[in-house]
Amino acid sequence: MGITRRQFFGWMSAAIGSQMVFRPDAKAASTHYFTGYADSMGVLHDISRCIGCRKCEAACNQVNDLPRPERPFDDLTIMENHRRPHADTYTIVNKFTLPGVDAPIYVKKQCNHCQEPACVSACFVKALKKTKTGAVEYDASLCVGCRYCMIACPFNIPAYEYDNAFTPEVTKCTLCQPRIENGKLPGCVEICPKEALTFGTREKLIELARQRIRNYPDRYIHHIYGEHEMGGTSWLYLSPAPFADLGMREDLGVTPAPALTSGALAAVPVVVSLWIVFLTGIHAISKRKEQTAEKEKQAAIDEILMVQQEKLNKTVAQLKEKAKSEQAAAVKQEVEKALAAAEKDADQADSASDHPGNQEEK
Amino acid sequence: MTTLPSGGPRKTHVIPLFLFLLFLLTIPFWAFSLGTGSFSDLITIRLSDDSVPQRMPAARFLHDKHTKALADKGCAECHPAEKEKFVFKFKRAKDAGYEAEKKMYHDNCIGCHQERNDRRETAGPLASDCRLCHGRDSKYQSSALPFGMDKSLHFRHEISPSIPLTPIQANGQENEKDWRCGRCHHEYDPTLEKTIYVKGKESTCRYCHLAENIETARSFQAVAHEDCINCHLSLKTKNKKTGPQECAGCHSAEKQSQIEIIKEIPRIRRNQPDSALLSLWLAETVESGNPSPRFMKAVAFDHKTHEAKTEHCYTCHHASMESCGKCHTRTGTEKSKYTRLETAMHKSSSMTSCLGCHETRMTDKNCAGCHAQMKNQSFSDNNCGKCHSVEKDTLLPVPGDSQAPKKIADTSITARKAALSIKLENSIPEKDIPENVTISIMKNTYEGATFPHRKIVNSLAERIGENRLAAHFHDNAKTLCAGCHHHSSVSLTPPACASCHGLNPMAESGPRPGLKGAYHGQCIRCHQEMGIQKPAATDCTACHQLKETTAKLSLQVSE
Repeated sequence: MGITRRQFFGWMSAAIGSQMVFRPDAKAASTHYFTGYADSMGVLHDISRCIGCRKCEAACNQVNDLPRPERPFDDLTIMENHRRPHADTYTIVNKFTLPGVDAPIYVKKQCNHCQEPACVSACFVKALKKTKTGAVEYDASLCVGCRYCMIACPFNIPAYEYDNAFTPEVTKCTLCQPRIENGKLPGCVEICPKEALTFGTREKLIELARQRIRNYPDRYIHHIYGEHEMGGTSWLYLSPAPFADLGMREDLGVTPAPALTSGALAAVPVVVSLWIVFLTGIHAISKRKEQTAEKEKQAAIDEILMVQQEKLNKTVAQLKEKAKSEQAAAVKQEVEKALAAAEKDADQADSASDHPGNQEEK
Repeated sequence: MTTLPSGGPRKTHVIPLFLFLLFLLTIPFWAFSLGTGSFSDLITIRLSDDSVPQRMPAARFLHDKHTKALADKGCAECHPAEKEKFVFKFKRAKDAGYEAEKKMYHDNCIGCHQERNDRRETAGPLASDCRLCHGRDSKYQSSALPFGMDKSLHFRHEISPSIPLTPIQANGQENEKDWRCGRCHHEYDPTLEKTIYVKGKESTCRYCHLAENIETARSFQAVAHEDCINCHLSLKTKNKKTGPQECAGCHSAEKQSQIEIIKEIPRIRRNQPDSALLSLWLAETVESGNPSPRFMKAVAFDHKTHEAKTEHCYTCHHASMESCGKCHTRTGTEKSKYTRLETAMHKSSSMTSCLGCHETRMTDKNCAGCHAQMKNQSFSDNNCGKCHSVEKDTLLPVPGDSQAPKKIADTSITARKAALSIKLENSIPEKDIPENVTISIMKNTYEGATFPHRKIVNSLAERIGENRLAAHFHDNAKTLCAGCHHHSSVSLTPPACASCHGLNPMAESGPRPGLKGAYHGQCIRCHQEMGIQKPAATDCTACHQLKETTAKLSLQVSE
């Protein structure tokens, strides 16, 4: 089978071209142009309003039927240590005492329900998905328990029921998806006495946050946390102090996590379909190489044979020559011998007939 | 047992040993160092030509330590004297360039240290101790606080018997011998080519002596050190009461706190006005005798009261002692960087503007309860008349009388002050202020909340107290009601909160908080801002009792 270089490149370009032309959904599959579902819901947490009453924690516990914690929710001393959500605690409030600021600052922490969640892109069984309401939903029936979502989350949110030996689940805030669907507010939002939590469409919340900054420029850091962080989150934050001082990461950038891998992952189908062409090419090339090698080998052998034959012929010729000359010499010798013998015989015959002493004088 | 092969574990012992030896070597350096900490007399030596790339970090030294060590030799040991004044440069009157200065510092500093060392006296770093002066780390921090004259210190200088009086040439005669202003205040006379004192033209040093040396004037820092300290030193030699001569005297926190403060300070005598009529069209009025209706009414400005309320003249007179309108004209001038008078007086972010300064007063604990909850635009657009109060008609006699603007301003200010004496109890009858109010419109987990409404109103009035600025802007006692009963016209029967605040706190229902958020927001934030500790914001039952039907911890979240 023969394949030329020109043919190989022809096939390759045809294959790449077909990937580009016949797969218009390739771009849609990448995340670069997704700006969130229209009218998806979110919560604006105005940190300057929070008084640290932990009512949201209690309400969350109640509406999600979570086990009662060891220490009751009206025990505010628990906030002396910084906590994070756990398997049976979907939200916590942390207390921050900043130097030079009299009053402590309280920050609620829970799943931020990213616009393009890292956990969703990390989950290979689609147990996590971003719904149109804004919530990042978890389907335990699909989960295989790999906990990649826990590693992927930049906010350290998903928790795992390590103490459940047989049917452990990943747990996190659900944005009270079932309540939202029934037209109710998330538990924490409904209970908050200070309206430090406001529920609404993300777009309205951003508008509201901007308005608050405009109306009270001295009260807030002029930044809405979550508007752009990691491509945006459904939970948004307004703060009277730098977010980094309140345990909120400011190093996340504005690129959604899936966008970081979509380039490499989008190349997978292309690679897969090109693989056959590529391998065929490689096979052809290696085959051709083998053939060439065989030919060259034969040529080399031929050449060697030829040289050897020549050498042989030469030797034979030389030997023949030698034999010939030897034969000739032998013949000559024999002839001479014979001649000598004949002469001798003749001399003897002469002396016998004439005077033997006059033989030389003759 | 066989010996270990070379290059085996034995080698590893060498490194820690070597490090330990290195550690031992560093100990003497610590022992001789200044000790860590912060010093008010830490001086970084900067050579005059800083364009030369420097191989070592600038040397630092403790000035007061040297003053003490060389007390018997005096300042002259290091500082040359010129016209009986010390020049506070090291061993030179004029800068000499990088290399020359470097050599001079090294020769003289190390030379002196070496001499003392040879005499077995305590001495500073020697030739081999480069890093003791040129330290790279920030182990030594300067704790020097900025220092300047406040009113009290200025007055103490005014009356100090140590300072000679300045003869004043007024109408060709020497009089008013009690002035000492000329000892420090001066201005440059180009015809005489020297600085002279002109009575009534005193201004702050900072106008001419800027942060850096310029061709026409030394830096403020240079002036403050050379002139103040030289004067203090000369008084000391005359055995007169004098001021500090070492760094710590002015720049350490401890010494600053010990400076005597005089409370009752008479006004500075500079012939400044008691009052002024601020108006951009006053000149026009004077010219035409016909006040134009096109411009804002004039402001009667109480200069005297503002003097008492501010620490420095330059708090407002930021660039010159001239009147504001000189540079801030209707269109602005090049000198004012084209900032118009209107902007100069109303710019929120500027502490030299009326509005900017007044707004900061609202962050006071007594005011912040209400004002921290008000939007940025705290001065209502319709409030202009509070300051722009001089009726145009009163200006009609102006053309004939140069003193008239002042008289008009005085009259207006007197009337204003009289109006301020109105007290809350006189303006609202107690019976019109409900004593207790119960909020029970939205009971859920808790019972309704009853709060002492009248006590709160009285407390707000009490907090305003004698504050004339507050009294001026709350001239109607009902204004206090607007702290809570906001956004509706001031009235004794304001609409209920639920008229505007709904039960649905969704973002879609607008920027207004829901009723629950409005109640809690207003009560709690006011308490926080005013520093009222009790009841704690999280002590729910201090305001409303838990409903009997509500089990503890079971919150009434809708099912």
